[in-house]
Amino acid sequence: MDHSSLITAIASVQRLDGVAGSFLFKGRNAIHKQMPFSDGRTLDLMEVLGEMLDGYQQVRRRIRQVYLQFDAGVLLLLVQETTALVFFLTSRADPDLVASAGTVLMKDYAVYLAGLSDRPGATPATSPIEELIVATPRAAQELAAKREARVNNWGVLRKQVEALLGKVMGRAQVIAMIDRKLNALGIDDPYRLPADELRGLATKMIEVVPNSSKRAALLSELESVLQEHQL
Amino acid sequence: MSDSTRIISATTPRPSLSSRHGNDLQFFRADLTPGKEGVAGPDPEAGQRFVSEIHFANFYARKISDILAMQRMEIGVVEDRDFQTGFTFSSVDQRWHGFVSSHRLSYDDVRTELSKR
Repeated sequence: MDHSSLITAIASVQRLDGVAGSFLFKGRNAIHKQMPFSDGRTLDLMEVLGEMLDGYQQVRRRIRQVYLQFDAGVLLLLVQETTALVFFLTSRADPDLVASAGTVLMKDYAVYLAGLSDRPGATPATSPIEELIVATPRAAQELAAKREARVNNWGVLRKQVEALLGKVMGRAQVIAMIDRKLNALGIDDPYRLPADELRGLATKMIEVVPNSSKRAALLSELESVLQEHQL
Repeated sequence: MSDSTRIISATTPRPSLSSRHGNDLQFFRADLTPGKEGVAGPDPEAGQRFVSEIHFANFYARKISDILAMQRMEIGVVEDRDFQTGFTFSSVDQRWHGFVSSHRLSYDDVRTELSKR
């Protein structure tokens, strides 16, 4: 039960017939909003509903649901402690079905919601869910590039490899050897290497040690370093 | 065995909500016009709750209708752990009609019931 699965669950309820929008807030913290109008208007609505719920809380009323049917739509609030899940319904919706599904959702996520802050802006209100439609090979390449845009901890690993090789050769010699090896392997940016290639690179650095017993001892030490890095 | 199954004709009227819920469902009629405030119903205490609920919800419903670019609230239902209160404004007699119930009614039943008022 995390933020992503919570948003997915709300999106599932929103797929019910006649549900035009939804948003979730706790105190003044907008946790999720997906309404058929601007964010500013949604935040204004959230502010008014927040004041309304504060009013009920001040007289110690534990409100469960508020249903407000206007001439062109229904606002359905499902309340749990200081958290409110709001649905904007059209006349096609079955409000009993939406209320039932929303109530179950809030019960399922009660522990997660209880742990969220009620301060404004504490949780990013933008949905992390993206519907990906890959229409062209170029778009697929861009997505792959985006996916790979993460770095490993090569900097720390390199220092540890240098320390290991420093036991059998001079420091300047070690640094020059590592740079030469990177050039020879055609690795421009070792920070972008995936875990298995990073492991292979570190091993190749130690394998340059000519003495077999020293090399075996250093490889053994390297193994524990790699495990430290979960490689 | 002939009487084991009770057949209800499709034309038989459904029992009213008040008969289904016994005395738990109390209907009220309230005039909130300044100077003419009053509430009519079976229980004065529940009547006051009914009026307070309308005052509070209608105050915020007006703000919300401005934000949503809507004209007016047609039906309101507020439910806490003890009571459910439903209300609607009648343009015929310019009064609020509705109920207070200790049992939860479905929104479908609420709309059906309030449409008769």
